[in-house]
Amino acid sequence: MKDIVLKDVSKSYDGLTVVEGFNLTLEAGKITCLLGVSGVGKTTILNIIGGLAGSQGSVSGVPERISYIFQNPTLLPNMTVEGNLDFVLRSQIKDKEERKKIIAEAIQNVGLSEFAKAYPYQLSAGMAQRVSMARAFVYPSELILMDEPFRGLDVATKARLLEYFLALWQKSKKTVLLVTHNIDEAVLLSDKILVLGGRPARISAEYFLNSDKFARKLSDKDAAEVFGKIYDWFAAVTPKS
Amino acid sequence: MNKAKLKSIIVRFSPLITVGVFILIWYIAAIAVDIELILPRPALVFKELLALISGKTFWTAVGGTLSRSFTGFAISFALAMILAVAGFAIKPIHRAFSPLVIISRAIPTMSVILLSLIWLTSQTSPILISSLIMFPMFYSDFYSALNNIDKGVIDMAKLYKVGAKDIVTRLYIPNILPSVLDSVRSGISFNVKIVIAAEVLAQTRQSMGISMQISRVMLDTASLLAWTAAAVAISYALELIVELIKRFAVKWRRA
Ligand SMILES: Nc1ncnc2c1ncn2[C@@H]1O[C@H](COP(=O)(O)OP(=O)(O)OP(=O)(O)O)[C@@H](O)[C@H]1O
Ligand SMILES: [Mg+2]
Repeated sequence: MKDIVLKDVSKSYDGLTVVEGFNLTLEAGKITCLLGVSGVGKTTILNIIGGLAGSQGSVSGVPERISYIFQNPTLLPNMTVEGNLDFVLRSQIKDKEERKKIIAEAIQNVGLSEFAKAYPYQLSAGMAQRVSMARAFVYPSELILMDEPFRGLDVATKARLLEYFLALWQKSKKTVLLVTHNIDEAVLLSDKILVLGGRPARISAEYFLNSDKFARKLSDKDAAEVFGKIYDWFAAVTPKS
Repeated sequence: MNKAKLKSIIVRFSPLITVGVFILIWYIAAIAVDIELILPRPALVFKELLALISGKTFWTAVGGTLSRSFTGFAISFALAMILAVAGFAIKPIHRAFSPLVIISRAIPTMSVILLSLIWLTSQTSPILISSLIMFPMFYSDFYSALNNIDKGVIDMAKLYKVGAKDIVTRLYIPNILPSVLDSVRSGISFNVKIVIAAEVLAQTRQSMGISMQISRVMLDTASLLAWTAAAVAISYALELIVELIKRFAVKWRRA
């Protein structure tokens, strides 16, 4: 796996310059978080990396296959949990038996074995998002792009989801870009947090979290310190309206 | 027997109860009117219906009407599906088509019938009429079915590089199927009605429409009502078949 490097990247939407001369490195096998308020350009940067939005400048190291986890689980309503994983895997793994085994394991990894034959309408929001995660990890990609994957979930559901996510990531060590405006999940999951601010967007601060992610708690001294600094920075720079 | 059980029995048999009440009112009205020509009693109509069913003319008439219905139905269905898919894939096609669909929906049914009687034979005009009337309904239904598929799911399929064939057969087709079947179910009996009306006016040989017309001319009200009952039964059976297909084919939605 290679690092993904954005150099001097610019993007504007008819007159509105979202990013300009933007530089960013996603270290291979690490979880990097882009943290910023709504409208700052997080999704735009994610789309540039995923090749969904054109841009000026150079983007290198992006693998051919990419997995995605969005706020919306985007499951096919007409397919079971199994079927949803099979849908993205069919063209990647031709052997049916092999696929079946891999899918069963992926479903087990997110604690949904009992729901393998359930349809999305029978799942809770948290369960559906677990399926979306299982799909991202089962897909033979080297990069996972996540755009607000924990938005709109209650604290307990989110905490479970973070655990599942880390357990899955531990096994594959795929490169991850997490885009969010929630400081808590950024602090709990990331190796590196890049705080985005301004217009055009730029990296205003960088934080490295070296503690073991699996044991990490928001109340840990270093985690709490990073959380506090980021929170205070947002609180200070955001103008009153 | 407890209350809930009684309620479930009433719910289950409510269509039968409705039909029973309807026949009872009919019976009372027939006694009150007491003129067979205006309103024959249910028993007489039922006897007439049995006589019809046992004759050969009934079945050739039903066969003729059904085959015309299905032909018109199939033409409008296929055309609407092709154009809805084209309009969905290429928006300018949809924009070009929308006014046409709106206009064709606004044309009075009778104008279509009368014009096609001038242009076509008595055998073919019911088919044209049925397809012209069904087409705009099917087109709008199919187009919105395609449009209502979650865009996020379509994007996901592309991002994960799912093949075009799988996207069509596993995403598009199953996801429009419920609305398409709903549309077919409500269209199928309406279509039979349209075809019968066209047959009356076109004087189509071997048709339910002309049979009804003959009953009217003969002042045989019981026979006219028997034909009507037959048409209702056929439409109902067709709708039921589609409903059963839907129940079998669509298991992934909350009942
Ligand atoms: N397709 C587009 N056309 C025009 N403007 C756009 C488009 N996409 C995004 N923008 C604008 O670019 C800016 C950045 O948008 P972007 O979606 O990247 O922000 P974001 O940080 O992801 O916000 P959020 O947290 O709300 O998702 C916004 O001002 C938005 O209005
Ligand atoms: Mg966004």
